[in-house]
Amino acid sequence: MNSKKFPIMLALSVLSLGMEAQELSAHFDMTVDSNGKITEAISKKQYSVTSQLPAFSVTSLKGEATRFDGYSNYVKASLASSTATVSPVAMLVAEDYTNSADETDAVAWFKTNYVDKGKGVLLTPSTISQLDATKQSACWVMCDRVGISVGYSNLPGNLASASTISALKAYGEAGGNLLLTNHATQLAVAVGRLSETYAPALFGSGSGGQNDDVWGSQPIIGNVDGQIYDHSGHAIYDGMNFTSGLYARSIYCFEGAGIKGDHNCMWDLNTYGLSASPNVVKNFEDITNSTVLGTWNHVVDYCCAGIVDFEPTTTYAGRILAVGLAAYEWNIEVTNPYLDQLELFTTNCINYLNPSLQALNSDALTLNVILAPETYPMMQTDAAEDTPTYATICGNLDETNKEGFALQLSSQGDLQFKFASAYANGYIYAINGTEKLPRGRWNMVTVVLDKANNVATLYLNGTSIGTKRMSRSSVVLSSGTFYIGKDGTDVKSDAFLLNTFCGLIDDISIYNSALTAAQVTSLLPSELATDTPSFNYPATRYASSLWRPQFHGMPSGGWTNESHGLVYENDKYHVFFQKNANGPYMSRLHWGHISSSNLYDWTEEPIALYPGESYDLKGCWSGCVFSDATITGGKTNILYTAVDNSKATIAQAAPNDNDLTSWTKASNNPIISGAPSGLSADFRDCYFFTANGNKYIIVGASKNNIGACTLHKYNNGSWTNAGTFFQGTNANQHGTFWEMPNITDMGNGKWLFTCTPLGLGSGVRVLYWVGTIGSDGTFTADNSQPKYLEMGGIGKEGYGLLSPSICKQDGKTILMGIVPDKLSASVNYQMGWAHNYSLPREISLSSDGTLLQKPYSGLDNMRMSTAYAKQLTLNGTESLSPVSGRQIELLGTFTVGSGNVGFNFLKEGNEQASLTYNSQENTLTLDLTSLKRQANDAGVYSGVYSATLPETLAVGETLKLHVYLDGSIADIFVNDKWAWSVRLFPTNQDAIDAEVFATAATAATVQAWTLSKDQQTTGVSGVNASVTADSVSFYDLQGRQLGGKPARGIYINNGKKRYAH
Amino acid sequence: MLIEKLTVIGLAIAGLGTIQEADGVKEHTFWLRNDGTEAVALQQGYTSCGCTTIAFDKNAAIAPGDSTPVTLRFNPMGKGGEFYESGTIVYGQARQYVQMALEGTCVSSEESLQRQFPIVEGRLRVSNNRFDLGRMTVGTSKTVHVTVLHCEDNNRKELFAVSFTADKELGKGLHHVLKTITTTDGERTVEIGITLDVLIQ
Repeated sequence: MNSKKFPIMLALSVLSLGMEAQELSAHFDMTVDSNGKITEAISKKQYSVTSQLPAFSVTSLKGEATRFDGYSNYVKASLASSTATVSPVAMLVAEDYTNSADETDAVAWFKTNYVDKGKGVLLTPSTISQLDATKQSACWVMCDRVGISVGYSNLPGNLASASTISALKAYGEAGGNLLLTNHATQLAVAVGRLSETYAPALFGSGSGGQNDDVWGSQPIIGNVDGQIYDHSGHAIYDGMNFTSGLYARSIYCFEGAGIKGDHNCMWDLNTYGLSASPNVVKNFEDITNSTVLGTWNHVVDYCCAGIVDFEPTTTYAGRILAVGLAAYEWNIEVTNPYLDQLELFTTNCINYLNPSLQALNSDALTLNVILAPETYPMMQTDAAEDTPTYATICGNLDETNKEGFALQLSSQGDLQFKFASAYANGYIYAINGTEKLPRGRWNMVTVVLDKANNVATLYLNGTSIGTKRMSRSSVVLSSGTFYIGKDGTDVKSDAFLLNTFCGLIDDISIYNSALTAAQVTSLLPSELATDTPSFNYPATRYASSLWRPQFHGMPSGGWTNESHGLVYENDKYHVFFQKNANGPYMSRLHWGHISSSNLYDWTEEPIALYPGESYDLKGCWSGCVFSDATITGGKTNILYTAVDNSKATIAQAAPNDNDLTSWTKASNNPIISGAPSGLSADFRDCYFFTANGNKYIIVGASKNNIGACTLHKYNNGSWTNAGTFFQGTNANQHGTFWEMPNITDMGNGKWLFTCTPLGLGSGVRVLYWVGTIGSDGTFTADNSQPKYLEMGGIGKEGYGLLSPSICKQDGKTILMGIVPDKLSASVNYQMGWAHNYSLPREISLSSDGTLLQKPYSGLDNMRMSTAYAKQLTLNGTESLSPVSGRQIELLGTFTVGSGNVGFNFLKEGNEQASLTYNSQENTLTLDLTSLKRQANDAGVYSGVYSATLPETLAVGETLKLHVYLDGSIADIFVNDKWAWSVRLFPTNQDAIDAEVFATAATAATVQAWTLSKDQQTTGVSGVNASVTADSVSFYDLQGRQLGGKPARGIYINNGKKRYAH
Repeated sequence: MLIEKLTVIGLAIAGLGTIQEADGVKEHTFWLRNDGTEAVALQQGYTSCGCTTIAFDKNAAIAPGDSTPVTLRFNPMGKGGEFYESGTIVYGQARQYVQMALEGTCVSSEESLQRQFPIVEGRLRVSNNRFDLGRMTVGTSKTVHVTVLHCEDNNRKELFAVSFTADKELGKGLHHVLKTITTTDGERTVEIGITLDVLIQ
C-alpha cells in the first residue's frame, strides 16, 4: 500500500475552569492509500493545552505527548473529519476537453474517485453557475493542450470566457480554493490573484515526442547555504516516493518513458526583473505572497517555479495551488509507471485545498491511542467505586442522540469502548476489556470496528482484551466535539474535575479501515516497554510562582499529605508520601516517592504504591519503611495502611529494584488485619522498630477516646497483637487519636516517641515523649506530660511541622515532616500543588531529656558566594545586602541585652516579615502584618506568630537565630535547640530585601547567604572534614587544583569535600 | 571486462570571463571521449539551472576512442553577478555521469537593474516597497526582503529583512503597516518606508 499523510486543520478549544476558552489549532495527520482513500488520521499532538498553569509536553516515544493534569485541563476538538457531510470538490475543464488526451484521462480519474463517490462535481463553462464556494471548498481547473498560445485569453473551450473568468473570480474571492494545472495556471492572473507582470511565461504547447527520462518535481529549491528551501515534507508530496539516483537531487516522479508533451506553463523567475538578493525565488514569494513548492527535476539553483502555492491575500480570500510543470502529464500514450504517484499527488493537492474530504468510514474504523496513565480517573472522592464509572480518554460519544464513539477508562482501571450503532435505529454498544490499563508505563489501546466481519475488538498493547458483535451494522458517527482527556460533562469536587484522564497522551490515530490483528501488532512502538514515561511537571510550570520552594522536598505537582519512610539507600535519601496525582486535593492516596542525594535537591520518582487490591481499593495510606534480616531478607520494605471502603489494615510491599522505584505488594497482605478489640476501629499509620531482639509494629489508634498506639509483635512469620504500646491520659492534652506514631532509639536507653494527635484542645500539633522500652515492647514515658515538637505556642491548629519522619544516617538523627500550607482549595487549584515538607533537622536529646533540633549540617552546601558576614556592635538596622531574595539563609548570634534583636526579610519599603526576639519578655515573634501576602491564618494567628522560649535567656547569654527562607516557607531555628517551620505567601515580587536589627547596642555576629539547590557542583555529598595543614593537594569546586593554603571555604581533598577555616 | 567511460577532453569548467547581460546567450562546446572498451550512448542530460541548456546527440553510439560534442548554453537574463552552471550527462548501461560547467561574472544591464530596482529613492534604488502579507492570525509572523541598490557605489546591493508579527493589540481587520529601513548614502542617512498590507483574522 502506498500511503501518505496530509494535514487537516482542526479547530480546537482547550478549556480550563474559570478561564475563557482559547481557540487553538490542531494538526492531525491522515494517511491515504494510493486510491486517495483515507486509512489513517493521526493527531500529532500539535494541539496546545492551556490550564491555570503553563501547560507542557514531554518528549516521548512518538514525539511529543501532552500532560493531562487530571483536574483542570482537557482538549476540545471539532473533529470535522468525522462528520458524514463532505464538501465536494469541483473540477472544471473546457467544453471540448475530450480533444485533449491528458484532460480526458484526468476527467476519467476524477469521475471514478470523486464524482462516482459523491465527493465531486464535474463542471464545464456551461455549467459553471454550479460553482459555489459555500458548497465546494476546492475547484480543480485542468487544461493541457497542443497548439495554444501563451496567455490566459487563449485557453480553449470557453475557459477564458467572461462568464467563466467572472465565476472563478467570484469563487476565489469568496474563499474558494483553486488547483490550477498545466495551462490553467494562467488563470491565476485571470481571476485577479496574480499581477499580469508575474504571469507564467515559461510556456510550451508543442506536439511533443518520445522521451525516456523520468520527470517529476524537485521540491528542494536553491543551493546557497541558508537559502535552501526544502519542501519535500509538504502535504502535497505526502506518501510519495522521493526517488534518488535520477538527478543531482531526489525528485517526486510523475511520469516515465513515453510521448511527452513538454507543456510547461510556469515561471522562469530570471525573467521578471526580480532582484537576485537574496535570490529570485524569495523575492517572487515575498512579492506574490506565495511559496514555490517545486521546480524542474534537475534544477538546484534559483530559476524556475513549477509548483506555486499562492496564499490568500488581503483582497483575494482563496488559495491557489498552481502546478505548471510539464512533468504533470496524464497521458503519455503508454502505461505510465508513475501514474500512481501522479494520482496520489493530485489527491494530495485536492485534500490540501479541501480537507473536509477526509471523512471517516462508518463501516471500518480503527482508533489507536498511545497513552501512559499516571493514575486512574478519580470519578468520586468519597469512596472507592465498587461499580466503577468511566471517564473519557478521547471521543465524541453522544448517548442521548446515539452517535459517536468514546474510549473510556474507569476509576478502577477498566477499559471500555462505547460506540453508537445504526442497529435497531440506534444502539450503544460497549466493549469491556478484561484487563486493566497498567499505570506508570506506556500503553497502546486500539479499537477496531469491522462491520464486514461483524466484530468490534478492543486491544491492549496488541492483545485482544474484548470483542463485540456489531449486528452487521455501521457506526453512527458524530460531528460533535471530540474531547481528549474528558468528555463533555463535568464531575467536580470543589473546582477540581474528577472525570478526567491523568497522565500522558501521545498520538491518537484514526484509520479508515479495519486493521487486522497483525496490523495492530505492527503499530506497537518498539519503545513501548522500554521508555519510562515521566509525569513530573517541569519547574517552568511554576516559573511565575513566588511561592514554590526550591530546596524543600515536595512532589512536582498535585497533592501531598504527610511524608513518611525517610531512609538512606543506594547513595540517596528517599522519602515517601501520601500522593494524589489527580490534583491538589485530598483523595485516594498513593505512595509517592522523592529522592535526594543531599536532602535539599529533590527529584520525584515514579509512584511507589498504587491502590487497586481489594484491601487497599480506597488508598495506600501512611506507614514506614524498614529492613530486617529475618522479615525482609535485609531489603528495605514498605509497611503501609491499606484502606478499603470499610476498614484499615496493615500491608507490606517489597522493592523490585535497588532504587526503590517499583514495588510488589506482599502476597499475604494484609499482614495485620485490623485494630485489636478494645481500640477504635479507626486504626492507621504503622511504624516498625526492634527492641531487646524483638520486632514490633506500632499503629496509631484511639482507646477510650484518647490517643493510643497498639503494639504488634513478630512471631514466626506472623504478627500478633501485644497490647497497647503507649496511650495518653487526657484527651484535651493528648488528643483523641494518634496519627503517625514514631519511636526512635536516641541512645543511652532513651527512646523518643512522637505522634500527631487529633482532637487536641489546641488543635493538631506534634507531641513527643522521651522514655524507655520495656521487655514487653511497651513504652514508658519519663514524664507523663508531653512536649511540643514545634517551638512552644507557635505550632497549633495544624500549622507548623506535622507527622515527623525520622531516620539515622552518618551518625546523625534526621527529622523532617510536612508543613501544611493551610490554603483554601481554590488557591491550591490555582497553584497546581499543595503542601511541602520541612527542611531536614538534626535532632538529639539533652541530658535532661529535651529534644534539641538544629539544621541539618549538609544544608551549608547550598550557600552561594553572594554572602554577608560581619562581626559588629549592632544598634539600629543594617542591610544584609547583597543577600536578598526568597531563597536565603540568615544566621545571627547576638549577646542578649536589654533591647530587641532580629531579622527583617521579604522587605520592600515598610512591608516586611519581621522576626523579633524580645529580651524583656523572652519571646520570639514573627510578625507578618505588614507583609503583602496570601493570608492563610486568618482567625488563628492573623499574621502574628509568637512563642515564649522554653528557657529564659539571661543578659549576656547568647541568642542564635537561624532562618532559612524558601519561597513560601521559613524554617527557623533558635540556639540549635528549638525549631519551627512556618508558611508565608508573599505576593509582592519586589519585596526581597533582608536586614538585621537591634533596638539597643548589641554585640552580634551576622551572616547571610543566597541559597541555591544547584550550588553543589562536585557530586560529593556533605563536608567530611576540615582541611588540615598537611593537606597539600586540594581543588576548588570546579575541579581546579589550588596551591598554598586555601582561603576559608569548601574544597575537595582526596575525593571528599572539606572545609577550610 | 567491459568498461564504459566518458571523459571530458580538456577542461571540464569553461571560464566565460566577464560577460554582459545585454549580450545575451553564451555557449561553450565540450568534447567527451570514450575512454572505455565499449560503445556508449548518452542517456540523459541536465543542468543546474533553467537558465542553462545542454545539447548533445542522444542517438549516437560512441565507439571506443571516438568523441562527441556537448554544448552548454547560458542565458544571462536576470543573472547578474557570479555564476557557475553545471551540465550533467548520464551515459551507458550503468547510468554513470560526467559533468562540465560554465563559470564567470555577469554584469547586469542597466535595463535589468531598472527592472529589479524600480523604486527611486534619491540616488538609491529599491527592489520593492509594498507587500501584501495576506491573511494572518494573531501571533504569526512573516518576513519579506527588500534590497537597496547603491547606484553611486558600484551598484552595491544591500539586503534588508522586514519582519511583521500580528500582535493582538493591532486588532483584527485590514492594516497597512509602515516599516522603515535605514541605510546610508555616502554621509547621509536615508530612511525608506515599506508598507505591509495585512488582514488579521
